[in-house]
Amino acid sequence: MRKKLLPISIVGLIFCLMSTGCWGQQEIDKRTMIVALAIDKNPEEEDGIELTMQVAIPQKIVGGGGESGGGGGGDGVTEIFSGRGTHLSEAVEEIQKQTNYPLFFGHTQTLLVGEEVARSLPAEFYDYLRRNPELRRRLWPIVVQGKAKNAIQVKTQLEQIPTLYLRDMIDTNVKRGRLPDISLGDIYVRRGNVPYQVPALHYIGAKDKTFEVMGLAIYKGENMVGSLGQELSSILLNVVDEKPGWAISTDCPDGAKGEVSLWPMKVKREIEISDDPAVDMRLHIKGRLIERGCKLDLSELAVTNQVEKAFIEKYEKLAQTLVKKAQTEFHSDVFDLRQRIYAYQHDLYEKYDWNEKINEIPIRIQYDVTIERMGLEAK
Amino acid sequence: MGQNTRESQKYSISSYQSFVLLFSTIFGAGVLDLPRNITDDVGNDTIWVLIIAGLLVWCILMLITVLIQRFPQESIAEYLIKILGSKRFVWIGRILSVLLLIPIAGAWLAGSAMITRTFGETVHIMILTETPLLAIMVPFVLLVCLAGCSQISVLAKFSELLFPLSLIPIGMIIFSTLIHGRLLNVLPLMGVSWEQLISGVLTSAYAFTGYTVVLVFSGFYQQPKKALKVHSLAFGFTFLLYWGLCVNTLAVFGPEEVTKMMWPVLEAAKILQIPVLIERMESIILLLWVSTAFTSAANLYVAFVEMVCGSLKWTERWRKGVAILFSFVILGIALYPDRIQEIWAFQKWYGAIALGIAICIPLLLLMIALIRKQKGEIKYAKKTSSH
Repeated sequence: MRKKLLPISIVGLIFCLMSTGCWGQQEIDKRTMIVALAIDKNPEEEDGIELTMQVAIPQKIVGGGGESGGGGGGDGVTEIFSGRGTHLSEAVEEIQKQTNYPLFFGHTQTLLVGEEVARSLPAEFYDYLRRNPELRRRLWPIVVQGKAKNAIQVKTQLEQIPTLYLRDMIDTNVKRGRLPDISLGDIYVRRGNVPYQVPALHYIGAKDKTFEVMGLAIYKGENMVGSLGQELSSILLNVVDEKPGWAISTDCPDGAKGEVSLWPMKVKREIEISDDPAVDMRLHIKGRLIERGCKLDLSELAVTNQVEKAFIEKYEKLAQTLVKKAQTEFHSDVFDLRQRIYAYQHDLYEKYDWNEKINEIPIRIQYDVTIERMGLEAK
Repeated sequence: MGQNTRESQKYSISSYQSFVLLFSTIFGAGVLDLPRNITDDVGNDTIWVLIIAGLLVWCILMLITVLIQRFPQESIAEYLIKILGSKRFVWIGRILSVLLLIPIAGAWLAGSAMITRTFGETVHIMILTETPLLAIMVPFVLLVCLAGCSQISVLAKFSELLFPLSLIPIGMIIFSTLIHGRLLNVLPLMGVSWEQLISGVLTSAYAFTGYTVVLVFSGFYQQPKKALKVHSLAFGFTFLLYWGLCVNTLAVFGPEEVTKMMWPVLEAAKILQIPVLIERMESIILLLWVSTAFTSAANLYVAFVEMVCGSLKWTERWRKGVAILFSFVILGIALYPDRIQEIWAFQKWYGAIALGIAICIPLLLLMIALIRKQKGEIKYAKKTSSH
């Protein structure tokens, strides 16, 4: 046994030395914890960006431990840093010069992109983000109306760290089917797919003490070309993601004054692409009635059918508007049809130059609405 | 006494253990970038090209199995002399067998080194970016060396223990892709050109290295007759997991993205989240991956040490010396490439040479054995039941 003691202790010692991680040792509170990134156009130079970071101060978070814990939230829990540069790493270095500890990207929750930058992204914009092993792929990329810097400076009351508030807000809406489930990783994937197209992204506006979901930012290829409001983004969600979208209202049938409102719960989608080529889509929405603003006896099936018809008309009208907008205003394949054709009907894909063709072919969208229930009221 | 120990080990590996040994040897670090390499060659057609490659490798494995079944419970060093040597001039067999054993031994050593380096690079790039590569690799090589010092039966038991652990990350990745995968990313399956097909099949076949270790391990099988079935099962299982991982990463990322990423399989794990509990899984996956990489490197190394000792007729006492000596060689080879591109080139060469060795040497040996009508017989059958 004594013979073996020496080799065992040597091996043990080497293991202890090697496995402590003393190289690059980094105390968890000795790093600058970034929770959000915001990217704007550099106001000083022609091309170049301004990067703004929201940094959390863990010691000040209530319930997060630390000496000064226990104070109220809001002010002082986060700090904002800004840096400018022609590209991302330069701006990051600029910020690193202002901070006491190394920057840590591992807790980044959102990537806010100002509308102006989103409309003219620098080449290989995502490269720095992709290479960095700390940044996760599951973070929300968000397009901000106006400047992203304004959004990152919003101070929320309900949540100490405003970014967490924003993240939860997006989470909630994604779960309820009102925003698409598009993370940074999904952008990477879609950019790589054969028809080069960034999907519609979350589009928000900054208010005094909160954020507001504005709808969706629409892209053509890599750059943003416009945005959709609540109603039109519902249609896009129905078609692309098979998600129910926002609540919808329409005039009461038979000229009665007032409006009825529907809460869509489920969507079923069928897409058919014929060789003409033409696209036919059928969408079946099931939902519940949430408000009736006119005198209608909804206990009668015939009346409910009339209401359903009114919703169908409303949906189809919106759909037509969206198709027209996509084809004439955005010139963009918002419905992600090219990839569908590429994957399922490859012969058809080979026949045409679909980048142009997609904006010329007829796209017909038919709706079908079932009002399954209507809350606690029987009429 | 040393010689006796090796003799008494002759029937120490059960069928299940041989299954685990073969699985854990093949399923190593190579799987991390497998989807990238194949998709680079054949795009979406990975799905079926991989199957062809799998069949090819299975045929090679069966060839090896037929050879080792002809000489049950004999390790390669023993039956090589039988096949190649003559009774009058024993030294001819000795020299010829050493000539054939050197490339096999070299391939195993290189394979072990390559896994070590890949393991080091993964940890270095993904988690411990500040830690020097040497500090990550030295404990790993130390462990491999420890494994090399021990007997095959110990290794078999150890592999058996780690086997379920190595299944966890795979399960997690496949689970993650079931959620995020899209059929749109996998289609269409277009015809690939013949050149692409061949290069794709070869690239995928490279990924299945290490199965040649059965040349040594088979000498310790309890039931050599079952080897054909066990090997097929083990390879089939490994192949199924490889295929599942490839198709799933393809379904999540699409062909373009897969070819752009360093380790697509790890990225697939990265997008997995357990709500509320854990937001980032990659560290856990990588931790569990250590066991996979380790068993793979250790099995190759143990096979190497066993072959060296066996062919030189060295006693057990020498085993430790050989294991410690050559672990420096592993570290040396692993540290040799400077750039990541050099590692890739090294991987490619290793894969090609290992495939060549796996086809040529067993084929040659089997043919000579058939022509010369050389055969072995089971010597330890009776003792099996008592073990």
